[in-house]
Amino acid sequence: MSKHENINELLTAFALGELSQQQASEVKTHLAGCPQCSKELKQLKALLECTGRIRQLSTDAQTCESAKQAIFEAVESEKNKHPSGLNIGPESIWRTIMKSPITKLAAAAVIVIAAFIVINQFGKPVSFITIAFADISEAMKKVPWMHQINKGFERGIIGSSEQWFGFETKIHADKWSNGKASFWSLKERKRYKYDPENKSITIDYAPDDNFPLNLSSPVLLLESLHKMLKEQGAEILTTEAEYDNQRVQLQEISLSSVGQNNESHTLKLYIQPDSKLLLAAQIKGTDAEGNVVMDGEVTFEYPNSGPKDIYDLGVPRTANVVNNLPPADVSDILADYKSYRKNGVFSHIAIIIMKWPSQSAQSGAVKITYCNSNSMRTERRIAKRRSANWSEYPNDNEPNFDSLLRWWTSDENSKLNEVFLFDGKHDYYVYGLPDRLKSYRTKGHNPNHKSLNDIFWPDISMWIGPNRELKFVETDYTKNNNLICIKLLFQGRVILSRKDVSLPQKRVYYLDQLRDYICTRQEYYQLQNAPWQKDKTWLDGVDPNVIPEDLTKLREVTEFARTDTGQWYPKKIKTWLNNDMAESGEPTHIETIYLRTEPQFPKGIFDPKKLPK
Amino acid sequence: MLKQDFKALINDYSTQVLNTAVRILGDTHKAQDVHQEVFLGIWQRWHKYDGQTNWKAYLYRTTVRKAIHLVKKSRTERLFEQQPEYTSKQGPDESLRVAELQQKLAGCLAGLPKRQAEVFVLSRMEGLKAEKIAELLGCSQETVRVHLHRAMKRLAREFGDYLIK
Repeated sequence: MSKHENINELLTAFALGELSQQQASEVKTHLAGCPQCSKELKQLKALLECTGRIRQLSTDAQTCESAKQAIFEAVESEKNKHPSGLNIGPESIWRTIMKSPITKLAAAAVIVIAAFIVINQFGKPVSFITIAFADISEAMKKVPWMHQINKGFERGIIGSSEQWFGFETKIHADKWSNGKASFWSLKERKRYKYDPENKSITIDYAPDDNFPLNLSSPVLLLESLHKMLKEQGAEILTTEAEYDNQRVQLQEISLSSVGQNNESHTLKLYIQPDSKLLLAAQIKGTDAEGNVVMDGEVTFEYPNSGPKDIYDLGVPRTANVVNNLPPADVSDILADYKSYRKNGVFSHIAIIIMKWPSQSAQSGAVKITYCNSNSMRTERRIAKRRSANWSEYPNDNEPNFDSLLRWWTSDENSKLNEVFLFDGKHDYYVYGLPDRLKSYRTKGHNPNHKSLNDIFWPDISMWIGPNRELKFVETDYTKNNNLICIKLLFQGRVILSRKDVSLPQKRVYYLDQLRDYICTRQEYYQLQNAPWQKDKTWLDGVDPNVIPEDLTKLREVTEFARTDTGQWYPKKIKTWLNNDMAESGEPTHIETIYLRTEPQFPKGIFDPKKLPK
Repeated sequence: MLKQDFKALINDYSTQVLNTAVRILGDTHKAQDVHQEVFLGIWQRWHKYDGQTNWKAYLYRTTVRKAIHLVKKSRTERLFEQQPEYTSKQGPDESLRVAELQQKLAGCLAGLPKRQAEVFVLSRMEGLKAEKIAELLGCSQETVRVHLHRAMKRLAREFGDYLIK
């Protein structure tokens, strides 16, 4: 280590005043002749001065008292739920797991167990990549049903449940210790749910693509499961063990850093060595401090038949039936739309010129988006207002994809302001000026970051479900323009424990039947005093500071174009935010899209290691 | 462990938890959220504690971790919100606007490895000595010094220029 490096290592201790006199003197001598160390010391001192000021911050007695009271009240309300004072809720462990938004893998944990029956045909440590699916025994393909019985607790909630998986019938059914039950026919795209509290069965439209795994056959279930496991980075250890007085194979699957609380989950599978069938499983989860948050046991049976409807799960035939299914013609339209959505402008490079006409005639940005079936990368350059370098902005009167790409790749214009990359697993974001770039990586993917495909062929899975109402609206405008207009109304909700308020929303989509069902116009309203909110007292007692502001957004495709293969796509899009439409009529921003489909992507364009640094 | 003990725990440590959270987050409302999350988390597992827990240490660790997690979460959300094309009326230059001093430091803290961030907060924001931090985190004083040194170097590099201006 050089003298400079030695001294440099002492700078923090020097700034903290922790060095001996002799060491301090050496540092001072070095500083006199080293501008780099002097600068670092200046930065360190500024940091210490700043944290010194932060250290003086404290909360006042009133805030402290109200925070304490909030806890006492929350605890009282929890206590009232159960005489023991423990947080024992009405739902069982497995229901909680399945619902949990933070544990995508755990959500499938129960199904995971089903799939491992097949894995264990190999009787050795499993490599997810090298499994030859064709080798899976014929016997396994003939397993028509799996029935599993689950018992355990999660986060203090104790419960039990049973589940059935019908591979030929494409049925998933479950039954809970609190009387709840559900029956999902993937073939019929219908899900029946029984709620014992109001003794009613609700029937919802549930497309098969909402099911987390492929239930077509044990093999495809396994394939889809592997994909999910690989994404989560699971590790597997295979050993021998004793279970129920017999030697069995034990597979231990470990997952670390699960969810926001960095939990560790372990799944132990006990397998009968001759038949290779799963006998039982255990699932255990611990939080970062080592506290057990989840502990459950599963046993398996392989019957020849399973439930045929929700009544086979013990639901009384006297239960009321609430039919939320859309009319038959609506189902047909949605099925049509789905097929167009899959075909959208899938693999492409798009160059998008953005302008903000209301701010300044010279205000704008250029974006380039690379998109394939798994990954997406967007780069954006911002044209500075009132700046001489605006001339860098493409000023060709009739630009095309090639001329814009040439402009984009020319050296003098290579100053990037932002790069966003989704590599199929994580979001990466690099931003800032070229000499001061910042970057970070997220754990998963932010679904709000949408590709062109997602914007102009929006996901319909959210269109039908609880707390929302779907209507098809027919007007002269829709008739004359061959549009299908879908109006969605969402009820506002308050999640008190999280101080989270979701305002009532209205979304209106206009799908163009003659142009591959492109969503030509989208309206979005988020209003506190929405006329469609059924419960007018829903915000009573809510802290006004946590209520989001009203928002309106309108996006309209004003020009269309077609790819070489005849696929329609939006060419020019105008967006109005809040009152811009009413006040000036001017759009908030205008985007013009130049598209190339099925392109040759530049090498490494989706590789996070090759992002600018 | 009785409910009275839980009340006593809140009375004894509420101020510590709130102060630590507010120093990291620079926002009383968010600090209250962290406070609530920390204590409700303990309550939900209350029946499992055996009376041997070092609450001071546990609460420091948990508060720092939860507060930094909250910074990371809101930083991610904010950055995505900055994209003006569909979410904001702001002009193109706005996304590069420099944040408030404390939020900026919090953002830099969120980028540090967990243990480095914990040591930095306990040392520089809470004013604890290396010996105490080592006891709280269950490591040696030398480890504390190394973590603090690394955290300070990185924060000074990321944050220092902004402060000097």
